[in-house]
Amino acid sequence: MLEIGLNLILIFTLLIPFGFLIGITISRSFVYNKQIENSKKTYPEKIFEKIEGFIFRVCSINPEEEMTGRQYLGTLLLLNLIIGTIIFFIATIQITSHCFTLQKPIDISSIFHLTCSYLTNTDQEHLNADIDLPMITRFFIIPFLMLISSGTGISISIMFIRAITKGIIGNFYVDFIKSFIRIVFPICFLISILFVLLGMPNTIPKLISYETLESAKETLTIGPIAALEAIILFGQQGGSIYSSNASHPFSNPTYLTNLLHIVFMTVIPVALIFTLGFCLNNNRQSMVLLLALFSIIIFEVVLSCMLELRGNPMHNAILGTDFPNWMGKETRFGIITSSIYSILASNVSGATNSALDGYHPISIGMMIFNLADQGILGGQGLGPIYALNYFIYTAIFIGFMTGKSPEMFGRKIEKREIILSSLILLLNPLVISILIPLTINIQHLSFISFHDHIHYYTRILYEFLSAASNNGSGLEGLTDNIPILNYTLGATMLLGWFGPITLSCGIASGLANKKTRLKSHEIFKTDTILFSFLYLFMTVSLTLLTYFPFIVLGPISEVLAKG
Amino acid sequence: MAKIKDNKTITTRAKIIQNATIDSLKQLNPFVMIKNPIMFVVEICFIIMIFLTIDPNVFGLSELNKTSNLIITIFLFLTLFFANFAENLAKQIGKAQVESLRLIRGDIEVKRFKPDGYIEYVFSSQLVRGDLIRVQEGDLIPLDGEIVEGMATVDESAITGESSPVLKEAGSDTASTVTGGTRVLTDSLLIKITSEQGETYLDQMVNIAEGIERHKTPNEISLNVLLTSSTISFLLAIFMLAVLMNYLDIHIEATYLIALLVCLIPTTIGGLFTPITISGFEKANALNVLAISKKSIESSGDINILFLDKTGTLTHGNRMAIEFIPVGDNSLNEIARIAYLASIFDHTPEGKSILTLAKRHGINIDHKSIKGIPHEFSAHTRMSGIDLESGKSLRKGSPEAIIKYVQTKNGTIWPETNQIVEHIAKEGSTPLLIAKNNEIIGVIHLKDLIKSNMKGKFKELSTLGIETVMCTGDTNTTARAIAAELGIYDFISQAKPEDKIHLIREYQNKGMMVAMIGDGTNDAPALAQADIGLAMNNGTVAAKEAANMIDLDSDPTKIINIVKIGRQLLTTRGAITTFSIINDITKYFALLPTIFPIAGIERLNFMHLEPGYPAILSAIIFNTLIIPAMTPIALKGINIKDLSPNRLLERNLIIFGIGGIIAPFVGMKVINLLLGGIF
Repeated sequence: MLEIGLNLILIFTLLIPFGFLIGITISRSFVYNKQIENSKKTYPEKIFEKIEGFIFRVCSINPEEEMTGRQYLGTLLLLNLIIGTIIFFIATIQITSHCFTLQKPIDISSIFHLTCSYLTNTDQEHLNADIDLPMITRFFIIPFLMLISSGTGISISIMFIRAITKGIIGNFYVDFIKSFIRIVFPICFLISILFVLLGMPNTIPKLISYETLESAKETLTIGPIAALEAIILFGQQGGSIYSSNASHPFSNPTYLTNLLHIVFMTVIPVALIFTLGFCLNNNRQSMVLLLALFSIIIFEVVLSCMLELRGNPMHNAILGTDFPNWMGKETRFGIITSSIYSILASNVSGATNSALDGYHPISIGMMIFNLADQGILGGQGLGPIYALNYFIYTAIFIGFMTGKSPEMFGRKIEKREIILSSLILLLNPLVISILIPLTINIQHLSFISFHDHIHYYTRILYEFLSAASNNGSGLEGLTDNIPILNYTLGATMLLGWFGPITLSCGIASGLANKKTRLKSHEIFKTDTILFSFLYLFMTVSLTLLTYFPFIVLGPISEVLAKG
Repeated sequence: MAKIKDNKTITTRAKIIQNATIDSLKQLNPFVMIKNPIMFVVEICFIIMIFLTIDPNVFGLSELNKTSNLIITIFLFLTLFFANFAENLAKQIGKAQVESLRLIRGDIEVKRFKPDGYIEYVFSSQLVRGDLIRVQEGDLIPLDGEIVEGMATVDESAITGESSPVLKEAGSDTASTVTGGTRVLTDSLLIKITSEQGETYLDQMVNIAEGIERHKTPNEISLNVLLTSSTISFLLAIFMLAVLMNYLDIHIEATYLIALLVCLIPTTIGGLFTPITISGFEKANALNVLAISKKSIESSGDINILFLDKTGTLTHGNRMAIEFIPVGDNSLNEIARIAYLASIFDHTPEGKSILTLAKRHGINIDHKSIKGIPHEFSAHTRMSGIDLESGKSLRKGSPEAIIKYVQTKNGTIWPETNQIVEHIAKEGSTPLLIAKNNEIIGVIHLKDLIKSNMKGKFKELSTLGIETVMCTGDTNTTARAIAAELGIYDFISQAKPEDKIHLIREYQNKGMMVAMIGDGTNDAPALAQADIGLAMNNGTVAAKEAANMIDLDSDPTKIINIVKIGRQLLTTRGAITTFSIINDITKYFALLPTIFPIAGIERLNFMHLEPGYPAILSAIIFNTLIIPAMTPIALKGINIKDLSPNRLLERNLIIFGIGGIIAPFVGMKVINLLLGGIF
């Protein structure tokens, strides 16, 4: 218990100040940049401004131009469509042109899945990164897509927060470029330096052949691991350079890097929630939201650690031992840090330092819950949007309970917003409840061949939910690189990423055009502990209402069936 | 509507229930039902259950027999029936209230002026807008109209419930309109018809009660969307469950899934949604407030700023004498005495107030000792007074009238008179002049006094979160003094109509909801601009047309009650929604472990419900019975008192949130135990 507490305290003491700092940076760069006088700008800010000015001139972008919500969305989708299509063809050429030696032929459906996966910040992998893919795809194509999805995610969430607090939509090009110049590049640079110092390799990509002690010939890939790891974590990608993801010693050499992994992959959502507070001039609001989100996380972490430490009761009963559940966990990190890592990763990205399949079914159940919820910190960009979507629901609930029209930060929530935010919540359940039965029916036999049904169902559910919530982790153990799964999961990822982006643009432009009302004593205050409690209740119950049968059929049935 | 309830023609309670029952059955038509998505889903389930009753094996082999399915089918039918019944009961009660109003206004014969000036007798149903008609003592006014000529007392009790007759007069700002269905008590009036058959206020009341003009309000739409989306998500969940169970080769009865779905979707609020709304409007009607648009009642719950006229709203509207100002070489005592004498036969409140003020100056004259010819106040002369036997003629009246009177007698007008008159007028008060023979000897300062209960009302408004803005013709200083005294948030002094609109817009741009109370034609633009315009019934046609609510009793303080009704309507709806949804979640978690045929699931059955059919049946029975159980609360509304939003939320969370958890647990367990005795 002490160890869990110390780990969590360490993580939060790093996470909160770091998130706070990035939150200030974001709000200064994206929201208040026009109000800040030149003399009060920091030195890096002046440099960034020059670089941006140059890029804007070269691309002939007018940074003063304000877009409507529709234009913002249109530009975002068009950019992603063009890049996605080009990359799909380049990857197809790279993989099928026979210029590079491949261990086994790669199906076109896998390339589709791969493109969708990295374009949507999901990083779900059906191929083994270090065996199946050519080097050029691994070290150039994939990181490029990772950056695009990262920039898209940060832009959309900044636009959302700015629209609902300040009523300004902004310009997509400006947000997109700024998110790289001011956020992604500088911070990833600092992180990769830190990682190099902590022992990660960072060099030109190459294969090293070596002979093992048993005289077997093996190859080992090295490359800009520290740099890529920074992009993967900070961009909440979770993809892997090595197929063992963050349990590989190059990706995650020490206990300290493991801790930093956790901090870096959760920092963007925390920073964006702080940005919300800065935009509202009300840091209490951020604290209240974070309090609710962190309490869910702490509850999950503690429960998961306890279950893992208790071990597998069936094994222990037979062996008469008291072993914790070491299945699929890296001994360098131990049970507790692995559990913390997995629970947090299921909230934010697909990075993993242990095999999720080996966790206690209840731990898996909580991960499924996190995937379904998406608002508990959540993925790059979309996480804060989901969190604020639950905020909208809480506001509606409070409005109805107190006989006032619901409002959010002084803006009225009306029919349009309610429809759109309901759609955000309904989109994923709708997609997976159509696609899972469809996939199961088409591919019926290959699934039912072995294992007991329930755990198999859990794996499929996890796979689809992970795709829909753009998380990318997986229970594995599923024969997943088959055309039907590649196509359906690819479609799920596209819908799960661009669907909520489209809908949130609708909400943002709707709310941005609403008049704000003056602060008055009779408005229900949203920065109180009571609100925090209600917010937590709404977040949990809205998710459970839709997903409870899914979770009951999967993990809970497993527990019940096996004791 | 106390008067109407005494009426013998009122539809009896039995009749209301009978009508509501018939309408509820008619409403089962799926094409009508589709308007309410939640109940529509229940109806679909009901239809599927009919098939399952006929042949339990429609969806594969079933262990349930026809009787078991029949019982579920019957309870689904009852759920539908109770939901419809609640709605129709609300409609019928409202209908009964106005039914008697309808009876007042049969087809009557009226005298209509033809364009050539001749009078013809026509039936009121033949009247069109713009017709001129003459009504006399004892006549019923057929339609709403504006008085063109004449002055009469009118009994408006049929509409307002107020028994004392109202004086109606052409040309006056506040009393020149008449309402169809009211009766002329004295004198006669020439009326220009301003509404057509079926458009009068009375008709609108009937329409609202019957729900003919049912446009959904934004809030209603929002909630509907919310409920529909939650219904869809539950449908999805159950659908997924069915498919996955099939895939996992777990057999589950179709009946159970249907019952689970019905328990899961928010049927309680689905059934009580419309009754809550209708009952809100009935409450407004019962207050004698006519909501022309349904939106207005709901919106009134959101008001932040209230604009009101000082005259008549904050003040008594009838002016009181507060000061005698002598002019020339006349003494104060002399003026007081003359003013007293000139006012003895003036029975208006103003006249009485002059007597009171004079008495305070030590004037005490025995009325019997006064001998002379009284001149009573008339609208034409605009002055009153007395011609004493001693030959003195004493007059008091409006400055213009008195000056004219004196001028005709070639009398003296002291130069400072005009200054004093202007000064008093500038303060927003009314000057009266006193004349003795042909000399103007002094000025009476009449002031509109602030109503004693108003201060309390502002406090009440403030606790409701509403700030008041006063519109007044007073000077800035006077207005500020009054505003400070009453604790008024803001004011506009020397207000012109455009100033009011301007300020209203300014507040609206800040995102406030503005309500405006007015009665005069000059208020009409502001009434139209405000989010809620509340016109007084004794106001002008223009004001009433611009407003979206009309107070038939012409009591401005009623806005507080209207706001409370609006807020109560929303709160009741919200609280029952919460109750319904929490209720459903609880039922769901209690029910799932009893019907899932998974090994070990019984450990989650912490309620120890009899698993399988008895558990399903008890949930369905509970689900059905909770609708009629909640109907009285829905119709009566939740008591919101004067709680702040935070306190209200806390209280509602405890009552309807925690209540929503406990009720189904207790209810289902009790029903389950009772069923255990039967099965």
